Amino acid sequence: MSLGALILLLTAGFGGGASADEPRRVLPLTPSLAEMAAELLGSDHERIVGVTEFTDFPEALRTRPSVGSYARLQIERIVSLKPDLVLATSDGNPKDQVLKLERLGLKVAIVDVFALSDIAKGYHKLGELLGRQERARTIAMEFEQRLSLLSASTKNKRLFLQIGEHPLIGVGPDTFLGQAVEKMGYVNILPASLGAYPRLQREFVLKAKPGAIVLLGFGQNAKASTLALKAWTGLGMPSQRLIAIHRSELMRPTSRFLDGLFELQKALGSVP
Amino acid sequence: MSASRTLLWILVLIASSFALSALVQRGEWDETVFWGLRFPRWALAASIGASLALSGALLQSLFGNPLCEPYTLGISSGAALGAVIAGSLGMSVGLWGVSLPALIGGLAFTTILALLARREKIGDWPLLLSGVMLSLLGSSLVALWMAFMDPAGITGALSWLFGDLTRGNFNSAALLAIVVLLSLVLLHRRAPALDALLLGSDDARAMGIPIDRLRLELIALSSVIVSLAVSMAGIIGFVGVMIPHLTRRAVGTTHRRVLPMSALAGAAFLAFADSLLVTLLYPLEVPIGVVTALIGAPAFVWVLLRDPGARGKAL
Repeated sequence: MSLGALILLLTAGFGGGASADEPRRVLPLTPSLAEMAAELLGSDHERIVGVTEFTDFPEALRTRPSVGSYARLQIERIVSLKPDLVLATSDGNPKDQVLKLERLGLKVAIVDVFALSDIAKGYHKLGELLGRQERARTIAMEFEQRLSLLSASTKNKRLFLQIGEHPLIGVGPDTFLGQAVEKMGYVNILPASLGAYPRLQREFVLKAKPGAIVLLGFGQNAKASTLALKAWTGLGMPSQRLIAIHRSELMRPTSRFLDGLFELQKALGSVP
Repeated sequence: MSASRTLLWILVLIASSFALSALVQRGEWDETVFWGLRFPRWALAASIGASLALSGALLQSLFGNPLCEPYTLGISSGAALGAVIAGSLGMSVGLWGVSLPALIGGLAFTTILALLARREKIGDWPLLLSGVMLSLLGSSLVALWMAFMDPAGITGALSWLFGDLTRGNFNSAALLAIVVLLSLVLLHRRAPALDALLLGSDDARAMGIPIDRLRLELIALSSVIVSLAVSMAGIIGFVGVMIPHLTRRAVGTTHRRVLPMSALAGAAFLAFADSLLVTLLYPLEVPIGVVTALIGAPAFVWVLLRDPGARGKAL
């Protein structure tokens, strides 16, 4: 074998400059993990061999093979994609299905991003797993810097964050979105004891007298959002205190989350 | 228990549920909470309870089996399927919204059941089991449709499959109450024929009662009532089996008593169960169907154990 051929073989084996233990077939099991992984992998995002339903960013991931919803994974499909690294969360993916993947011999890494402070940590952890530590440091630093620009634009205004139209589900204060709005100076009307995303009685919200209600609509049409807001005006909530915002990144703990957050802050600024 | 004592108990339960709904609020009493939320919900719970119990009583007499009800016979599932498909296509809750497709779904499933019932060789139990299978089929189709069509997926499907009194409003409640009242007026004239039906189809026929027409009319009426109820609040199981059974034990089998008393008792039961649920679990919301199933499933088994024959004559 010539020296040239040997060098070619070696570099091919190392994936064109990547280190040997870098995963080449990555399978993220939530839309946000897919988004973070794609951001870290940059031009190597082709390594993401499959995604879960509703993964819509970056655009290129929309056409990747789907392995079902993050809450109901298609195990057979996952195995057939032969991933060498599966990225899962402990609060979103079903525990038994994740354990099954491990039992089937797949390497599964748990990356939990729940609180606001977990987002930067999540990038660091993913950076290590994907061999992109430097890129992770840069993204995490930029995220922290942008987050520090988020200042309190109001003081003690009571806020209710509603997910979708029906049933009535709220966003608790111990979530990344809940913590972010508190950083903006708002007081969440939900106590932490009710959990992250509780299903609520409408009268609780009404009695808590929120200064603003934000409807986070995903995938639903404008007509459904209008109807959902009408349910509040029908109960005497002034319409200028109601906002419907259709930005999916507000429910995605990734660097894009801040884009949605600044948009939300702007929209809330118009609430008297 | 005498009929008047039973009636008194039912009225006490209705009054208690109203008092619970009207008076017990956390923090300061709020007029908007009562008129805007509690009262319409109480009225809807009562009218849904009445309609489920009435159609349950009717179906039990028609099929001669105390375990028949809209839920076990699959009519509710058919209606839920129609409602869910219409809802995901953007139609809203209301008479001209999801109610019409719900009615089509309910009638389609009822037609299958009615066709099965016409087969001479099919007995009560195979018919009931066919209904249970239809019910499972409908529920699975609802879940499947929701999983593919709606991003909220299972969450949305659950609110249809386990009942949800937060969708409807006072107009829905009033409409359903009117339908129940009109049905009771209509059924008052059919009551003697229903009484005769309890003696068995052959005896009733010998008495000159047009059994087939009667069955068809009443199954259709029952489907209309159930489909309307399901289109407003999803599937709420077991009310239709429990309430008529208990009512019969209290007031006897005469339909002029059983039908209105079942409707009243159903109204009282569901209104009370929901008011209690809202008060005890505040501020969290739990689908009412979960509670009726928790109470109803053991009651269903109790009916079976108490009366293993559970056939027409046992009514």
